[in-house]
Amino acid sequence: MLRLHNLIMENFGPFKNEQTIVFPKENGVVIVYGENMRGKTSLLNAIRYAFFGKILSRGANQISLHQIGNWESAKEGTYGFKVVLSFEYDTHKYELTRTCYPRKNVDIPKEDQDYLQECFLRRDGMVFGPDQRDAELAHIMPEQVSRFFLFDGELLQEYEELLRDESEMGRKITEAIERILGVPILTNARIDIREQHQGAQKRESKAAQKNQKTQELGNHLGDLMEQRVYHETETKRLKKDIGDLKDKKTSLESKLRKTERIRTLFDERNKLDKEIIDIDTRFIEKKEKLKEIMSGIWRSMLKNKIQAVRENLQKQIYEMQTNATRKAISIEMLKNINQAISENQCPICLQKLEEKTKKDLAAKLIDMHSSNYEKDDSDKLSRMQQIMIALKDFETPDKTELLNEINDNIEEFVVEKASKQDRIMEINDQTKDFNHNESEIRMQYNEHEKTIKEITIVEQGIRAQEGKLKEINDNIQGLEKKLDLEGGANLGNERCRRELYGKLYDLFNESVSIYRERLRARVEKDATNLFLKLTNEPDYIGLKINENYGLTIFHKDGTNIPVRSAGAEHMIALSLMGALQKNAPLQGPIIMDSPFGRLDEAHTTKVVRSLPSMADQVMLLVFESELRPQTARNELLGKLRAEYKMVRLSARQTTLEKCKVVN
Amino acid sequence: MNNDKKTIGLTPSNREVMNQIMQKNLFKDQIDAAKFAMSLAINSGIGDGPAEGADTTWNIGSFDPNGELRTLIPLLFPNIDTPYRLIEYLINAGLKIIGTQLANNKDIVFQDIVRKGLQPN
Repeated sequence: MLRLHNLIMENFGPFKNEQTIVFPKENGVVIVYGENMRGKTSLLNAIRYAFFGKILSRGANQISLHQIGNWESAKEGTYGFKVVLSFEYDTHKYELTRTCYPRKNVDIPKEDQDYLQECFLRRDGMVFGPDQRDAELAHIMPEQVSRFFLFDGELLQEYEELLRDESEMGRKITEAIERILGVPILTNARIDIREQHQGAQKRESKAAQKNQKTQELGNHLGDLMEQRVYHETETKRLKKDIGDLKDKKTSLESKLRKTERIRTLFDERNKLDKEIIDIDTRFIEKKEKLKEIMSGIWRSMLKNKIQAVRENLQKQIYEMQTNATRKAISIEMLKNINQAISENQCPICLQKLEEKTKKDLAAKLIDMHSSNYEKDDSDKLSRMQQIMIALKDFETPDKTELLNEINDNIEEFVVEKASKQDRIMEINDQTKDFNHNESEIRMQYNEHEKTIKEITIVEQGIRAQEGKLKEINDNIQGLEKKLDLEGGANLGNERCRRELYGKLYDLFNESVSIYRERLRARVEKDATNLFLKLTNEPDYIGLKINENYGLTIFHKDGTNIPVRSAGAEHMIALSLMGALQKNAPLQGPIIMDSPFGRLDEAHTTKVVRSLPSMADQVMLLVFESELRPQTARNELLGKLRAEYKMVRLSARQTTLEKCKVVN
Repeated sequence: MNNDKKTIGLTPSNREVMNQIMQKNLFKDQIDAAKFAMSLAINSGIGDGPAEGADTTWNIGSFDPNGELRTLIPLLFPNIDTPYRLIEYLINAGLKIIGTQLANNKDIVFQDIVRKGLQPN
């Protein structure tokens, strides 16, 4: 059981000079209140730095050491920082000191390389050597399980990944859970026994090679075992490769997540650039079309004028044609009258003319001769008709509609292009600090795709190797059976040893499965108990655990709740934490940074009430609107062992003040 | 028609207007723009007159290669026997109209002038 005594921070983050937090000896909760930017995450990091020499940002990425030293101290010429953590483990008292200071020849450090780090671990006053120190620390607080002791409330949603089988983050969390629950004790023992079993198999094959009767079988077995060693080595190598590749993929995904918004903006900008080129092309096409129309537009503009001239001409031509008809009729009439007078008979009805009629006709003849029928307009008419034909040549299809349409298109293009250019300017503004990183971001994206492909290939390789290994093991088993029949008494001892290790391996193999099952059942039960204390929803009757220790809410109607809120996610994660603490061989303090950000007041109250049952020592780093001090005091009563307040002295300096706990 | 012009020209001020028009990138060449200006002037009811100060810009052979304007103008203006002289006058008058509109509003959408020119009068 790990138990913290006190933490001294010197020039660490906003904590200038030396500042101390004392963890009370009694079991219970310590609460440190601090508003945003006062140093809550720095305090959590101070403990993390003491144990692991690492400082993480809220996104779980490592922060540069150079950025951690107190800025005001640095301004005054003091660089670097120091953390001293005193704790107790298995009745021994430890003091862990980690210091970061500038190298001798560096007056003003500018980057991490300008610093040196030192770490000392004392146990009951005795200082460990570096290797011993690292081994001891790895035993007391393995880094792989630190997430269950030192955690950031904002990262609690990561536990949802346990519900996704293919998730790399989920796989890592499952490994960490099994580690804290002690599963590696059994799995490592299983590996040891397997090695012993293989060693016994080898010895048996060698013994068989020495006997003439079994020599051939022994040689064959020896070959197969050599092949097995080769394929196992290969499988191990590939599994290491895939582990590295998956780590690389996770790291790239984390980077890609951070730059996702920027990458999306870069993609959008490239798309807009292409669209603008397309608009420009269409714009030029329309402009050419427009010029073509504009080339003959003067005709269209004169259409009405020409139309008016044509109508006027048409009218004149009609009048002239009418006159010509009249003239033709008159000439015919003249001809008939002349004939009637000369022949004294009507040429049409052949009746004889009376004298009076003849006189009337002669008078009419004089009238007709005196009118203008004789005037010849045929030349003028012909000229006019030619003009009509000439004007017809100026008739042009009305291109007004087409022109309007093209103009509208061009205007639309202009507006569309301007809108896209505006958006590009916005994007440029939003990405101005990242532009030099565009190629790097794209490279990361390509690298991610490449890594996924490599993972697929290596996975295929592992499957092939495992298939080969199964085949070899089956062959070995077959040969061993033959050897059992033919080997006789001289192989008896080796056979017994081999069979014993084989059975032991089977036993441990089964034990691992049974232990895992039992652990899962226990974690499910304890997480359910805690969850039911935390939730306000009476219809939820428990949590169900999956193979990866992922927890699903179980409704009283017998169904699972497939989608859950961020608040529910936090409660489930906290329930899992509590259950793991209860079932882990390794127990220690829980230090939570802003764990209530997603919870309403009622749930916060319930979580606070349950804290003392989650671990003997709990330290909360919260801001007052996240957890009101009076609520904490009312809910925790005597279990609230200490309260600290982070007080601002300046933007770069915070001091820790211990408050008097009044329940 | 013996007294008619053999060349057509623009006045210095209209040459500047022509440059402005060409910057709008609407016409393939200045001849198209000049014919547009001529039509605009005809539609605006401009009659006959002298284009004073016009220099030589185009030979009528290149301006009216098919002689269609020589045919059309006397039809529209029956009393005219020097069509190219009138055409020069009308072009300059049309450019003056456009120049005035451009001077009043530099950002005027030229298409509006075109649309106006196409409206029935």
